[in-house]
This record gives sequence, structure tokens and C-alpha cells, in this order.
Amino acid sequence: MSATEETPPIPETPPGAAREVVLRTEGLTKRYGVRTAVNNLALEVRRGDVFGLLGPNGSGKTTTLRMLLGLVWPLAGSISLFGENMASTASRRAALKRIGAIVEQPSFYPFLTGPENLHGIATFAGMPDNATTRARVSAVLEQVGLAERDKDSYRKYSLGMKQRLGIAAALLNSPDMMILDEPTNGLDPAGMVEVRALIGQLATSGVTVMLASHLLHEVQQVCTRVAILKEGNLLAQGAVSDLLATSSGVVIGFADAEQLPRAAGALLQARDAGAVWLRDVRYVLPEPGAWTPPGGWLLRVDASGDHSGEINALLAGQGIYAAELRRSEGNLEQYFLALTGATNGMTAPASAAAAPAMPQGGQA
Amino acid sequence: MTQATASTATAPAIQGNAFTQTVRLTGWVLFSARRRIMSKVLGGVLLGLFVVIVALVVVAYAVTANSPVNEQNCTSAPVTATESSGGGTTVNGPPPEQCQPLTPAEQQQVRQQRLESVREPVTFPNSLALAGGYTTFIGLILLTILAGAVVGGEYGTGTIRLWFSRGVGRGQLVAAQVIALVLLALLISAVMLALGALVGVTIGPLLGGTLAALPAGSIGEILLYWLAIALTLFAYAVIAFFMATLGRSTAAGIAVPLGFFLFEVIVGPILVAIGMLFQGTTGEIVRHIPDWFLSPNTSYLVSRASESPIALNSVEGNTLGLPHALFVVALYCVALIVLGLVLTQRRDVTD
Repeated sequence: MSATEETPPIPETPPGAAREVVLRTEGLTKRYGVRTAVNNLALEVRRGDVFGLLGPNGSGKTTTLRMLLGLVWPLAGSISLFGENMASTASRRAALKRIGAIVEQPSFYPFLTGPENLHGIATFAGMPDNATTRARVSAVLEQVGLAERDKDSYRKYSLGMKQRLGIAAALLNSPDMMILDEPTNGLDPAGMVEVRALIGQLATSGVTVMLASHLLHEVQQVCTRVAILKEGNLLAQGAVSDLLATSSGVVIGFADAEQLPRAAGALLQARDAGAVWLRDVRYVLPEPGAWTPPGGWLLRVDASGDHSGEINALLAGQGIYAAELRRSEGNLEQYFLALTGATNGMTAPASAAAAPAMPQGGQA
Repeated sequence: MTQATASTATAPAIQGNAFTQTVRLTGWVLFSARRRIMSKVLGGVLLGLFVVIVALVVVAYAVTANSPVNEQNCTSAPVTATESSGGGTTVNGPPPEQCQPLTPAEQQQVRQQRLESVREPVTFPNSLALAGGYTTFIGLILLTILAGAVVGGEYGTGTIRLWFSRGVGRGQLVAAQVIALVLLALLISAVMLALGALVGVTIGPLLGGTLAALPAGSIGEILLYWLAIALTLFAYAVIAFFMATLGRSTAAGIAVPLGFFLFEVIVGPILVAIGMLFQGTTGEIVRHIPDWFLSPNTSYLVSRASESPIALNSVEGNTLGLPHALFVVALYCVALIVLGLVLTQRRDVTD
């Protein structure tokens, strides 16, 4: 598969697949000493979902994945995987047999070759005989593009090759669900595209995928549903399309920089006066290559694009005329930043006072 | 990457129950142990050192065979009394020795005695004692290093995650590791005893030794000897297993058991000496603390197992007793395996 191939669209409801819940956590909690890594987490993943677990560093993503995989014991709460209660040893082992996973970086025996490592996993996984195991190992190595390096020991692999071998290992037992922690970590751009395509193919074939990633644009590209964590708490969970709908907005630029704080003040006043559709007003920097107004900042109004006309009328009523007013489709990064209270240096809170100074490195 | 759907469609069914999976996992632990560079180095050291020792015996034999016997046959002269100036008699110092050169026949006899003592350790069945003693020292150290590397390496490389996240039971992994250590201990001691026997039936006769017929019951004794040596190796490997599990590292799995081995060797005699300084119960207690160390008990079992009918070793003068030795060795093994199992079962895997 070429790196430039389009990632196939992932249906939010795969055709022919029952949408039963394959993973459900309730009240899942984990503490390390006095630090709460995961707090009262309730997740629901349905068959065929490509489910993204998002959150800044230390938000509890990896701890959550570890609990799902039986590596870390929860302090409280329950995990149900394929209907099996993970608190029971036998049920946990039965459920985990149906999972393919990479947690953090892939782990293999460095002195063995890729095929030998996979052979070990396959042997344990209970493949019926050596011939079948060899065939399966060859198939997955071919699938991830490592067939040519089958004589090299794992320690000689590049980071990207190690990641590919991890994916091959996860595919080995033809899992019903893949759990991937930063699956594109260490891959070159072409490799990233390939992994995204692979995830799409898996989802299309009915495999449920759960992935944790920092790469928000990647998650937006491949995931159908996401959960956003911060400091162990679940901030949001839902279909990507639903979350993006709530982060769509209107971007406004002014030929006169002095009109920017006036416009911000007018919109904030309207919000405070009861315009509930107007969720927030922020200063934002233009995207690279876009028109840059005097002063550098644009005004972003968090509201459905359907309200563009009302916004224009409201400003015009105050004698403020926009040089540019356009709808801005929401993206996961904006939603994530707004939800977690983080900033990427590209936004600033709006106020009726003067617009803030341009950040260092910002566009003029 | 190629299409995912194609390969998932042809994927084989997963088979195997917990027992067969544990057997497979044991096989995997042994395979991964064999494929380590460390195993090859340690195996080379084990065999190479033994070859060096045998070669040294051969050299010593050649030197002895070609050296002149310079000893003289000395006898003490009769005590003579001399008159002193005071009129009494005194004895003037120790009686002088009268030495005669050995006759050629006597020289030949002395040389043969020396050659006999040199070639005896490499002549069967005494060569088994050489191999056994070598294995319970060098083999023990090397298996301990290997055990620490195999168990600790699972944490160091993170492969422990690989197993547990695939539904491998934690008890299954511990069982596989322990079984693998048992098999390695049996294998190493069997190979070394076989090598000892081979040396005994080849090098010994080459040096003029004679192979006597084995007394009845010898096979049973050799088998017991083998098991006792394997148990000694296994007991220290279990310490390595436990420490590697506790410390989640290869370093802990290697350093602590070897340190304990040295501790026993050094501290045991010191405690006995200190105990001699005290009278009564205190002295008794201090003197008997080393009885609860591992090394004296494994040594007892090895000696006891090879005491008769070949008489490779002897427990004469050793007061430990078979029940005590068996109990202490079993206590170490069982307690450390159970503790290792509990640790593995209960702890989070965050490596």
C-alpha cells in the first residue's frame, strides 16, 4: 500500500456489524500513592469503533490502557471486555486472548529476530502447529513491510521498524480489538499514513480499535469516537462529529486593529445579555498562509456557523465592520484545548480592552 | 503495509489449555535463555574452565612422571649420651638422622604413588567427584547469573508486558520460569557429570589409571549425586529468580544470590569461631546459625548422596543430618518461589 493512498472513510456504524458494547468501564480508579492517576472513569466502546483516548501527559491514558490489559490492578471500579468481567482471572485471560495491543513502546527480545519474536508470541497464543505459525508470522510481517528484514535481530531495528513489529505482533492473533498506545510513534510520515490506513482497514473489517495519542489531527482523521482525559478525569466522551460540531465557529478579521477589542466587547456583552448560542469569544492568530490583519489577531466566536448573519448584524449595529467574516469548522485541537484549558500560543482570551501583544514567533 | 482484511480472514484458530500453554511457555523461556549471548559465553566458560582443569592435571602428571625423585630414606640414629664436664650425662640435641639414597625400586614406588594421586581425580569414577565439585561451584555461579538474566531480563526489556497483556497467567509465567530453572539445573549437572565420566574413562586410562568395576548400586548413587548437584544449582537459581522478581532487574537477580553465596562462605566459619568464644546456650546458638545457611545443607546433601557405594564424598564428622538438610533446602526453595509468585501476582506491571 502506498503512503499517499487515501485513508478509507470509517463508518461510524459499520455495516452489518452489531453495535454491542465491547468495552465498558465503570468507576475505574487507580492511585499511585497519593496521586490519583485515573479517577472514576466510565468509558464505553462499541464494536467497530475507532476510539481515541486523548489527554495531555499524565492525564491517565496509559494507566487506563494498562488496566484494560490486566497489567495494572484498578483500585476501584469495573472493566467489562467482550462481556467478560476483568476482575475474574479466567475471564480476563479469555478476553485478553481476543486483544492485540501495543502499550507504550513495543517490547521484544532484543537478541531474537523479528520472526523469532513473533513465533514465540504465536506459539504461546496457541497456534495449532509450527507450519501454521510460520505462515501466520510471514503474513503479518508482509503486512507491516518487515518481511525483508527477517534475518536481523530486533536490536538492529530502527524505531519505526520496532513500531511496525509491534503492530505485527498485535495483529498476530487476528484480534477482535486492537489497543494501541501512540501507534505512529517513531514512524516517518509515510509510515504514519500507512498505520492510519491500516487502522481504517481494520475498522472496516469490524475490528474495534482503541488508541491513545497526542496527535490530535491524527485522532481526528481516524477516530469515530473519543474520550478526553485530564488529570485522570474524563472531561468529554462522544462521537468526533458531535464534539466537532460544538467547536465550530466564526472567524472575523478587521482592517482597523482598533475595531478588534470593540468587536470583542460587543460580542461578550451580547453573550452576557443572554445570547446563549454565543459560547465564547477569543483572539486567534491566522492560519499559515491566510490573510493577516493589522495587529495580527483575528477574532474567533465559538458559535455555530449558522449564526454568522446575526454576528455580522450585531457588529454592524455597533458601527463595527468586518473585513473578513467566515465560518470555521471545528477541529479536535481547538476542542481539546478549550476543554483542557491548555493553550497552544495561538489564542488569547478576548476582552473589550486592547488586543494582546503578538506572541513571540507569531505572524505579523 | 498491505491489506489487513486479507490476513485476518486466514488467521488460524487459537488453541491450547492452560497446561499446554505453560509447557509452551517453558519451552520459550528455555529457547530465549539459549539464544542469549550470555548463555553462550557462560556455557563456554563452564566447559572451557573444566577443560583447563583437566589439562592442568595432565601437565602435572607429565611433570611428575619426568621429575627425579630426590627423596632419601632417612632413619633416626640411636640416642647417644656424652659425659659432661660436671660428671653427669646429657643428651646433645635431637638424634641425628641417617639418610640413604632411595634404591631405584623405592624411587619407582614413590613416583607411582605420586602419579596415582595426580591421576586419581581424572580417573573414573573419581572423575565424577571432580566434575561434581566443579559444578557445585562454577556451575552454580554461572546458572545463577543466567537465571538472574532470564527472569530480570523480562522486566528490563519490558517483555513481561508482552505476556501479561496477551492473557498469559502470572502464575503461568512463574511456573514456566521455575520449571525452566529446574530443567537447566538438571541439564547442566548432567552434562558436567557426563563430561566428568568421559574424562574419567579416557584421560584416566591414558595416564595409566585402571577402570575398576563399579560396585553394586553405583548407578543409583550416581543418579542421586546428579540430583543433589542439580538441587544445589536450582536452590541458588531460585534466589536469583526471587531477587530478579523483587528488584525487577537483571542486576538484582545476579548480584544478590552471588553475594549471599560469598556471605555464607565467609560468615559461616566466622560465626562458628565466635560461637566457640561463648559458653552455654549463646555459644550454641551462634555456632549453629550457619546450619540454617543454604550452602552447608546443599553440601551435605551432595556428600551424602555420593557417600556409598563408590565413596566419592563423605559426610563423616558433619552433624547436620539428612532431615535437617532437606528441610532447609526445601524451605529456601518453596518460600522464595511462593514469595516470587505472590509478588508477581499482586504487583502492577509498570516497567
